Amino acid sequence: MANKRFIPAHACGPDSRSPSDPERRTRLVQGGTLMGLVACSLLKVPSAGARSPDPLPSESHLAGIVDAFGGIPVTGDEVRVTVPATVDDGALVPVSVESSLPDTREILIVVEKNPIPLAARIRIPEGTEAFVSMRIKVAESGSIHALVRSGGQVYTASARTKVTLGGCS
Amino acid sequence: MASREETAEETALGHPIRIRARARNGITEALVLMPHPMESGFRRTGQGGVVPAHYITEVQITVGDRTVLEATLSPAVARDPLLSFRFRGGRPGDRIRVSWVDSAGVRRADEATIV
Repeated sequence: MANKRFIPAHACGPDSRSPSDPERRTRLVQGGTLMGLVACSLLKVPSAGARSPDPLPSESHLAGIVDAFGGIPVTGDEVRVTVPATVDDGALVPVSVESSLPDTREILIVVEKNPIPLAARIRIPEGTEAFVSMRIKVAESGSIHALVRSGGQVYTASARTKVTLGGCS
Repeated sequence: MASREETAEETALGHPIRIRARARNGITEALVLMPHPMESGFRRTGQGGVVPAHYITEVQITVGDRTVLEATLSPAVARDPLLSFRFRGGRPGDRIRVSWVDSAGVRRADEATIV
């Protein structure tokens, strides 16, 4: 895929992501275990974490986020969320959201089980298509929700992904 | 381990935003990669400390005076955020500009030509 060539080597950090690196798996397993523990402890204390300049609502549940953005969620096939059914590395999970609803002005990506569920809020100006694709961190297997604001209403759709190794957010 | 992570952060921040934008049949497809550590503030160092949160909070993408995308990111966005999107209009030769600001107040902006 053309995308792969586009990603520079440094995109993957100082450690090579090459599958031929035998130490990487060990490091990831150790790191993943630690991160899992951290994530679990944080989940019990949703208000933990000093995130002072936070422009996103720090709601810890989907319902809270839906409330914060106003509107009753409507589920339909007009909104599509695409994530891999299984991922090895939760630190790098591709997700794309597409809406065929007219006048889609906003797309929110929410990761059900992350300590900070709201991953991104994308504003779609007039003339831009209601489509976005990005990479997110997913702490553990669960649902990825998309919230789409269209015509004053909030619509939701979701997809599930199974994470072998949590990418602690 | 801590010092190695810091080095990684500086390296990521020092890289320019990579932008590919291609206009075809009235639609421009854009792919934007913003090198940034996107530290969540939850990650532990080997010494038991916590790597402080440091992540891109706002992204704005413009073509001339027109804003084609705006995004607010949380630390749950993966390291080196990669954004792909499409907008109507945009001609080969137009300049597309991407700017971000992070939780530490660092700013970066880069441009590319639509092909």
